[in-house]
Order: sequence, then structure tokens, then C-alpha cells
Amino acid sequence: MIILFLKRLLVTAAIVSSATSQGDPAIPAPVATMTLDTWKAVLPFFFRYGDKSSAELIPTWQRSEDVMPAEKGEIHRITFLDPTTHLKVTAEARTFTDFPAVDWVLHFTNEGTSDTPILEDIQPLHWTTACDTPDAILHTAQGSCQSIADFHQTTVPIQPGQPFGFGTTTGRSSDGLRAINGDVSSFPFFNIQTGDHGILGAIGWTGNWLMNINRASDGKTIAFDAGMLKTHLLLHPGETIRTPRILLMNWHGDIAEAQNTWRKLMLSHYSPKDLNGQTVTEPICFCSGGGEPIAGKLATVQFLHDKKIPADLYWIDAGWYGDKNLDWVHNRGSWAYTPDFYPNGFKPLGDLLKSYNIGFLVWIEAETAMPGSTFVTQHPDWYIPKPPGAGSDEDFPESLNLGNPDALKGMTDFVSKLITDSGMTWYRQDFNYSPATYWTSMDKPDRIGMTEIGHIEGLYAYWDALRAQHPGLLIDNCASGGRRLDIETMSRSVALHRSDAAGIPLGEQFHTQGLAPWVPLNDGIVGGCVTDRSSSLQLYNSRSGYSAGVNFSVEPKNFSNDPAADSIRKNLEEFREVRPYFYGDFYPLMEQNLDLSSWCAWQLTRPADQSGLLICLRRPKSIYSALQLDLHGVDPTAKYDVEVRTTMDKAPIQTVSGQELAHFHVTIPDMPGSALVFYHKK
Amino acid sequence: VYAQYFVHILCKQFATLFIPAVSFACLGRADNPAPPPAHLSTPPVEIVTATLGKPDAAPFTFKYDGKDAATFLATWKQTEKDAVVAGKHVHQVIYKDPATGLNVTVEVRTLHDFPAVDWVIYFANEGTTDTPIIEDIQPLHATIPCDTPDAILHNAEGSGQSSGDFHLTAVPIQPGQPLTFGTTTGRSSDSLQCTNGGIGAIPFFNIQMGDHGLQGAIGWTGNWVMHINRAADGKTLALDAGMSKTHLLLHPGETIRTPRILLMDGHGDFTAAQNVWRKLMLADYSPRDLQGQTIKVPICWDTWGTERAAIKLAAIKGLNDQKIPADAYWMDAGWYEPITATNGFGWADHRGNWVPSKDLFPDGLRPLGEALRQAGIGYLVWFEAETASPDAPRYKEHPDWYLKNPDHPISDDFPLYLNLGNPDAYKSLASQISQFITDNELTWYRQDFNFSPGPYWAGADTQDRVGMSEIKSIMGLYSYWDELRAKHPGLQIDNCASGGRRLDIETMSRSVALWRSDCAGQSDAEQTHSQGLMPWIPLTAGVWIVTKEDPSAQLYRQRSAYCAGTTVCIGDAPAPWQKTAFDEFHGVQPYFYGDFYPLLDQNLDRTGWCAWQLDRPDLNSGIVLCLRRPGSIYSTLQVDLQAIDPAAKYDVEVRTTMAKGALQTLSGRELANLQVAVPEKPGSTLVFYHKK
Repeated sequence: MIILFLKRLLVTAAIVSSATSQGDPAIPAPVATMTLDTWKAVLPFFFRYGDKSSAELIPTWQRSEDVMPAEKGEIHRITFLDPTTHLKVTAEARTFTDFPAVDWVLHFTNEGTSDTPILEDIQPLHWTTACDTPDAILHTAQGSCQSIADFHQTTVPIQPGQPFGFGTTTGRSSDGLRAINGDVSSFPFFNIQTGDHGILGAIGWTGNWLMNINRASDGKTIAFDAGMLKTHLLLHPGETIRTPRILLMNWHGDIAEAQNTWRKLMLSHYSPKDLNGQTVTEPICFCSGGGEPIAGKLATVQFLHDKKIPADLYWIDAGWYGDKNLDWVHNRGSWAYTPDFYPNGFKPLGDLLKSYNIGFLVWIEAETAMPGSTFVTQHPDWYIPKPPGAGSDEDFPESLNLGNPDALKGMTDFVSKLITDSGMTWYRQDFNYSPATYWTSMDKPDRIGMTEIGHIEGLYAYWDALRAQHPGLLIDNCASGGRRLDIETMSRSVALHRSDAAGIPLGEQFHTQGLAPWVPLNDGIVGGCVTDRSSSLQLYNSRSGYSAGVNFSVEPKNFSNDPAADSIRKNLEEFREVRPYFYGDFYPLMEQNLDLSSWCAWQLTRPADQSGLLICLRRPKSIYSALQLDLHGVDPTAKYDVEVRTTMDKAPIQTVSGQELAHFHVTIPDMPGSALVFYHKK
Repeated sequence: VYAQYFVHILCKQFATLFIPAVSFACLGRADNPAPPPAHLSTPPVEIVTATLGKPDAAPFTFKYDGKDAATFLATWKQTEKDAVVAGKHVHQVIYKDPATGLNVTVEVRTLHDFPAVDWVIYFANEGTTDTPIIEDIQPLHATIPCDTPDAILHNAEGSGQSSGDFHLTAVPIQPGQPLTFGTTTGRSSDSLQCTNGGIGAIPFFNIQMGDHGLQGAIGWTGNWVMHINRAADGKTLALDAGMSKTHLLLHPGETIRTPRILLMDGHGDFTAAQNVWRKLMLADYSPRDLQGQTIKVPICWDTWGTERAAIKLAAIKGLNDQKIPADAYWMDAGWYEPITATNGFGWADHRGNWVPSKDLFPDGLRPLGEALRQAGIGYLVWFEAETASPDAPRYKEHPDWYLKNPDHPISDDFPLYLNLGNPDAYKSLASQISQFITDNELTWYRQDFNFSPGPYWAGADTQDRVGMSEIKSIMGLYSYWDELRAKHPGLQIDNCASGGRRLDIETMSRSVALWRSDCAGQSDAEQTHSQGLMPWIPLTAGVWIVTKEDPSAQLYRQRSAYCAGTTVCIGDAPAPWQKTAFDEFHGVQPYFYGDFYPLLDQNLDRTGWCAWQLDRPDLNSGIVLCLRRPGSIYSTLQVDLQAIDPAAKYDVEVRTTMAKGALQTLSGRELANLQVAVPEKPGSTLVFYHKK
């Protein structure tokens, strides 16, 4: 119809004039931050005990406090003791000297001589904070469910009077399957942005979790609750349980910088360390299946060594165990070498790898066993059987109950011995089913949540024991891809196979961009099984998989020639140049998307040595051949050495002014194609 | 689990010296209609056409007195004749019921230059008493073979005041899964209250079956519904289309018509097939000018109706003095009584009062018409002729001529609706507006329509006349427009209905759409609307709202509005720079009458670009329009142009500013894969090419 835009212009003018005539309505309220002092003052947790809430009870309980040193921080242990039932609540709140963050976990101990009353609705996070801006936004991501869209970044407005919750239901902490409000998140990391500041956070619990967000109808406060899905339990005398861990970090300023500070926090305090106390370097992994004779593997390792392929570890995946006539799935639980493949076990391979200083990774799905497998037969009491009404044995196998001390000790001893005997330096643990229904099937009405708590506590104890017994051992955390990514697992492990939708270049780009802001240490798939990586297509495929580490695999018969080895070596040597940047700051230069007609472009910077890297990937249907990137952290007054590399060969270094670099043009002539731009301040 | 990992990864002067004096005679005819694919023995249109005269297998159906037409039509008297109707040659197949006197005339038009056929059906009671009930009239009821596993229905969303208006849709047609789509508000391309399960709501379609297909349109400016039912074995498609509901008797002497059905055999991919369709629309379903040529859609100087006459006359003088080549001056709503300059937004409250405001136009609208005639500029005035508010004089005198919404009191959103099915009401309006056109020297009649008439019709129908109010209104609308055009040779009609909500072959045969969406002037929306409409309806105008931005952004906004025409909304007085801008539009306009090749999928991604090629094979020339959106970090596009002769040489001009670029010579091979850079964000580049 009609020229409605004129109307709109007038309406807009009216709004502007009323806003200015009434002054700035957003008088800043106190900015919400979580500090140790705030923590101690508000005690941001909740539970119900007997018929009363913790808010009523805690002030009447005996409070004591002590402080312990921690790496770059302190742990404040605050204890509350119920004088009547002798339930003790211990909160361990950790501070950091290098980050504006607080981390806490609660323990409940029955120090009495009889069962406690019912303890329920335990929320280790229960906090209401001021909201001083009209717009509050939740940034988070979707979990993994074998999709190229795994780890899709999500942004949800937090509206007054519209509470919502999100979390997982399958018993795996970042499982995109059957998530609560999965469009919002199934990933236990979040960033609540209120204008130019906010709170980044994580829920550390490798089972089910639920977070609720409720903004008051006047918009001025936001209430957060997070914890396990359901707790309704009594404790027997002497029994102790723990809660999910809560981590909150305050931020002010630019949200991209805030996520980079979060990355640093993750790398510094929530990542495994190597023997030198340094954050682990994600490996370049040569992957192989387990169901193959050792002779071929020894030959491959020899070839890797002879041709100087820079592999950091050799990977044996599923299938090395049990009856050679059954597949890897049906042999789970029969954890003995298949004699035809490994007549003398892994030791010959472990020894060879050790002599060449190559790591050794072996897959095991320790919490899983098929009915009738040797472990189930020998130790039926260690396992929780398939719940009534569940599906096939393959999808619902027997579930190791790590809450059972015998099972925990038995599996720890077994795997520990396997590590010692084989020379493993990497322990890869997979977990290919949903445990939640097993746990609920075991819970009694007055112990709801106990089976899950027991198992998750056992899982952490299991990994901690293996790492203590084998200094330098590293753990690869897999659960049908990246379905158990949380701060508790990531403190103890890295994710070398982050999604079961792996090796698809578009998916690899998407997964890296989705995970990098939250979980820095994960591997992409580089080049798959391809030998000649020199074409623009193959180089695009390879570079799509660059992350903190990479996996590759080549059929030995395709691999044992010089050109193939040269091509792969060159590709991996390039990755070695790139890898350090994945430990720096990460800036996506385009929004995460799955559009084949688009590009993917990232900037990675290392402020410490004033260098950076651009990774630009022109997708197979993109008719765009050049883009102009606005870069972060470039000094416009400086000069830079810049190398633009569009092929596998290094390109000449050119000198570029900071002004030009800050708005750099990158051209990729091929479709698909890729470019790496290395820059270094002179 | 890792096991899945073992998968191989799939992994110038472009000078006037070579810009020919381009004719607006559209390409006009399919120059070399492609032969049907060898594997398809009989093309669908041939199959359908062959049955038009077969009473037991006709490609239409209805029920009469409870019986299906196929069961009795063969018993009626059948005659056939050729005739000339409204200047067009048609073939009529006439069936007459000897018992009741019902006459059913199928009027068929074969479009000789295209593999296409069009028909409309008339029902006339030639008896002396009311007929039995005629119901479920489906002017399209045909079954065609489907010889490919994959069949796809292409369509587009209708208009709903959204940047997503005319979003192209493509849904698979699966065996045993019937598809239904249509409109419900009473406006033929209205996306409001339209739930079609991902299928669009414009009355045009392309059923693609591999490298061929069936294209079509439903010509009806009210509600329509189409069903596509693929047999369980996948081998046939049953097609039905018509009004949403008909269940009616006819009084003696009464005649009604059905929606018009147009079908054409499609060849090639969607783009190729739609380019033939564009030619068909331009040749046979677009209005003509006085020379008999397909109309040139104007570049309009768009103004609101509530400016005083003196301001408007000064603007017209400015356009004339500065030789700004505007094709038409546009006066929108609000020019009528009792609106004043200080009460400019009462336009909706006084619709139907078609007398110029004395406060704004003390001498009426004629002085503007005279000034525009002298300046050689067309004159467009807005009406919402079918709509009235309670203060409208005609309503006060003849309240019975108006329909009311049965569910809502009269208001701006639910106004009075003049019943063009009432002959007296029709005559009154037609005579008033015709006189107005004469008195004021209008060359363009703009008709808007800002409400949903569906409920009005339903409220006015009686149980044995369901559908009659709609049929009579729509027939009246067509007669009204035809009468105005007949009485005023050269008069053109601008068809608006809250934007483009009445776009169908019946309206588009009589009009063009100068304001195709109420979400107008937003650059990315303009691009999306053009890209969504061009495959189906060539003659629409984009909207350019002139704002004060930097030159690159300004030019981006201007070029985003380029289509067959451009509607320009400038708040300021005419200024010299506008001559250059309007001249540039005139330079690109002819290409919008040629073949249209989108270079990127239609999208609203602000980080993307919009890029089109428009090619005139008859002129050996074309343009490429590249629009880099405000959020796009892409600076260069490597285009893959169509219809370029790799062995030939081309004169090429690349123009990133308003100034003409240098002329260069490129080989066809180089041109076909040209790298087009747009340095600014937002920014735009026009490439002109001409074969040497």
C-alpha cells in the first residue's frame, strides 16, 4: 500500500524525542559480580532438608572456615554442621589470583549415627543478581549428537517474566540428544551478557544437569539455579556425596575478549598438565582400527619414523579385544587381546613407539560390557543390567557401576595394569550409550539421585587414580564424540574425537568454531585418509580440520610410498606451525554457519609474541573470491612481516603496515580453497 | 565412536556508442522453443489440451445436482467455435444441458509462440428457472505423467509486509503425500493466514520433473486452492485447482466465470524454464502501451498526498527544469477531503471520499495534471476504490452497495467494501473514477486494497449461493479495470493491495505492481523481493527511499531498488544529482526485460551479497549487478555468467560509482568468470557487457 515508511519515520522520531526528554532511563544499578566476599555473604546454593530450606537452616548451624592454598589461588573451606542430625555441609570455594572467577563444590556428609532426613532439591547454584541493562542475553551452545551442526552457538534473550530452563537428560553432560530445551543449550557452559559486562560460567557434572534462568517481571534481577535434575535422598551414617561444580567468571568490556579470557582460564586451570607442569599439547594422532594384526601396525610405525612423519601418537581404536569373529561392539566387556591380532599383547608396539618417542593411545569403553562378555560373567555384581523396556543390547549394554567400590577398584586395577603392560601413554575412554535410565532403575524412592552421584564420583576417582598411578598419562575423553565435555572431565582429559560426525570439512569448521570459545583443547580431523594433499581441494579439507590438535589416518598400502609420505609430512609440518596459535586468543571473523556458498574465517593471536594467524576457508560453492577482514589487536603504527600461503608451499614474507593489516584483503583463487596468513610485528 | 572415522572425505566508457537504443519491445517470443525431451513422449500441455473437448475426460470438473461432470457432460449438447473475445482469438467448447438450460463454455486460448494453453470456464443459466446446485468447480482437474523419481514444486511466498515476501520455495512432491496450497484472506498472493506447510502462496507454480516440467498459474484475484496428488506408485500427478468453495445455483440469465488456468511445458532447470515463463508473461500477460508494446514500467517520483499543491507544483517544475527523467509523478493517499496539511495521517479514515482536499488543492488536482503533461511526465494518483469509510458520500447515499465484515465493527482495518458485483454500485464507481481521470489528466491509476475481503464475501453469501459474492466482486473488478482502460487509451494501472497481495495473471495482464511489498525500501528486502518475483512476474518496481548516507551506501540503496521499474521516495526537492541517478536506471532498465540469472541463492544474509545477471540475447548485451551488503566482509565475487560466447570479444564496463567506468575488451572466456570487486561495504558494482 501506502507509504508506511513515512509513518514509521514519525513514530521513530517520537520515540527518540520521548527518550531524550525523559533522560537516560538506564541508571546503572550495581553491576553483578561474583567474588569470594559475595559468595560468603549470600551463600549461593540451596537445598531442602527435612521440611525446611537451607536458607532457614544454615544460619542456625555451626559454621567454621579454613583456608588452603591452591595453584594461583586459595580454597576456602566453609563448613556448616546441623547440631541435631549431624549433617555436615562442606563448601569448597576456590579463588584465583589470575582470573576474576570463583569455583565451588558442596559435599554433604552424615556424621550422625542414623540415616538423615530427606535431603532434596540440591542446587549448588542458587543466586539472584542485579540486571542493570534492558537487554540480557544468554550465550551458550548445543551439545553433540553426531551432526555437522554439533556445538552450534546459540543466543537467547533473557526476557522479564519468562523463565526458562535447559539441560541434559541422557546422563551425558553435553549430549544433544533428548536435551531439555535443546534449542537453547545442551552444553554445560554459558555466558550471561548484560550490556558490556556479564558472567561466564560452567556446570561441572558429567551426568544430567539442569539450569534455570528467571528474570523478574520488572527486569531488574535475574535468578539462576543449577544442579542435578533431581535429588531426593537420605544419607546413611558415614556417607558423603558431592554436587556438581559451579564456576563463575565476571567480565567487563568486549564479549569476544571475555571469551578469550575464559579460554585462558580453561587452559590454565581446567586442562590437564604434562610432566613439566605445562598445559598439555594436543597431539597429532595417527589413527588406526584395533581389529588388525600387530604386524601391519609395527610396519606403519616404522614407516612413520623412517619418513619423519611428525605424528605425536599412534592410536589403536576399538576392536583389539575379544573374539575375532565378532565386531568391536559385541566384544565390549571381553577386554583381552584378540590372540590372532596381538599374540604378545601391545608390548611390542608400545616398546617400538617408546623407542621412537611416539605416544601410544588405546581405546577402551570401560564403563560398558555386553551381556555374556568375560567381565560380566566374572563380575556380574559390578554391572547394572539393562533397564526394563530398554532397546537392543548394542544400544543398552551392561553398565559398569563405578559407585560400587569393588567395580571401581577392579576396573582401575585392570586398566592400570593394561597401561603398564602395554606402554600406553594415552588412555582413550569412550562411552556409547545413555546411562540415565540405568541410574534411575537402581534408585530407591528415598535415594533418588544416589546411583548417578555414586557413578560420577567413581568416574572422577577412576581417572584420578589412573593419572596418579601413571604420571604423564593423558586421557582422551570420548562419549559418542563430545557428549561428556564439562569442566570436570576437561580438567582431567582432552577431546581427541569431539563429534561422531567427523571428517566432514564443513562440520570440522563448525565444530572448531563452536567449541573454541568454551573448550580450547580438542582435535579436528585433518585430511582424513587422503595421501596427496597438495590440491586446493585437499588442502581445504586438511585446513578445515585444524584445531588445537589433529587426527589423520592413512591406509598403510596407500601410505608406503615417498610422495604420499612427503605430502602428509608437509601438511602436518604446516599444522605444527599453526598449532601454537590455537593456544592463544580466538576470534571468529564470520558467524558460525553451514552455508556452502560462504567462507569460514578465523583469527588466532598470540599477544605474548605479537604474532597471529588467519585461517580462511573458501567453501566448495562460494563464488566469493576475496574478503576484507577487520583484525583484532593490530597496531596501526607498526610494521608487520606477513606471509599469505594459499598452497602447501611457504610464500614470500612481505612487509605490511599495521593500517593495511588491520583491514586485510585475503584472496583465494580456488573454489574450494584456503589461505593461511601468518603475521608478526617487526 | 571412532569406527565412523574411516570414511574417505568427500570429501569506461560503456558508451552510448555501444549501448544500443534499446527497445522495450520485450523479447516477446520464445525464440527457439526447446523440443520436449526425447524420453517424454507427450508433453503435459498437449495431454491436457487434447482433453479439453472430451466431455468424459475434460481437464476440469464440477458437480451439478450432485453428479460429477464426467458422468453427464457427454449427454449434453456439445458445440465448438472460434471467436474473438476482448481482441483475442479463442476457441470455445460449449456444453448445454437440454434439461435445465445450463450452458458451460470452455474458452481456450493457445499461445502459439509458447508451448502453453490457457482457459477459463463460464456457466450461464439460459433456462427460465433457477438451476440445480453447481458445486466443487475445479477449472483444473487433470492427471499428467510423472516420469522421474524426483518431482519438485517450485513456488514463492506471498506478500505479508516482510523482508521475506516472495521467498522462493521448493518442496518435494512425494508419492502418496498430497500437497495443498492457496490463500484464505481473499487476496490472491497474500501470505497472511496462509499455512501451506512450506509451500508459498503466489498463484504461480513450476512442477519440475528432472529436466522438464509443467509451469502454470491460476488467474483469480480472490481465494484459490491447488491440490497436487502424486500416485502411490509415483507415476502420475493429479492436479486440481479452483476457488476455495463453490456451492451455488444460478438464477435465469445469470453468468459466472471460473479462475483462469494457464499451463506451459517447462524445459531445463528452474532458471531456464522461468526465463521462458518470463517471456510468456511479457508477451501475453502484461499491459501494452499505445504503440502495442509491452509497457515500460516507470521510474516514479513518489510523494505523499498531503503536501500542498504549491510544493508539488514546485517539484514538478524542478523535475522539468533540471531534466530529471522521471516517468511518472506519484501522489499517494491523503489528497482527499477532509484531510488538511496539518491532519495528514487521516488517510485511512476518509477513504471513499474521492474529492480533492480544498486545503491542500484549492484548485483541485488538474493543475498538476496540466503541469505534468507539459513536462512530459506521467501522472499517478492513489485510490482505494473498493474501500470506504462511513463518511464516504456514496455510502451515505447507498449503504446497500457496501458489504461489511460480519465479525467486526467498521474500522480502518475492517472498512466498508463496495460490492462491484452490484451493477449500480459498479456503474457509480466506474463513472466517477473515469470522469476523475479525464478531469485531472491522469495517466496512471493506482488502486490499493488494504483489507481482507474473504469474510465479507462469506458473510454475504446465502446457503445456496456459496461463492457468489466473491465471483461477482472479482468479475466486477476485472470489468472495472477493463472499462477504465478502454475509455482511456494509454491509461496504465498500478496494482497494490497492502503491497503485492493481488499478483496473479488476471491482475498482471491489466496492471503492473509499483509498490510490491509494504516492507519497502529496505535494501536487502528489495533485493529479495526482486529475486523472488522476477522468475514469475517480470513487471514490478523496486522502492528506493532516498536517505542521507555516504555516496557508496546511497548508491547501494539506489541499485538495490532496480527492477523493471523503480519507485523513488525523495523527501527533498529535485536536485541535479538525481538526473545522473535516473539516467543510470534508464540505462539498466531494458535488461530487466531479458533473461534473469541469479548468481547467488536468494537470501537475507547481511553478511552476503546479492548478485544477478540480466541478459538480452536479442541485443547481444547484458548487465551484472552486484550488491555487497552492509555486513559483508566479502570484497570480490567470481561470477559464472550464462549465455556468454567464449570465443567472442566483449566490450565491458565496470561501474562501482555513479560515474561511468572505462571500457575494456575482454574475451568471452574472461567475461564468463569475471572477478567483480565491490570495495565499499555496503557497496555496489554494475557491469555492462556487449558482444563485439
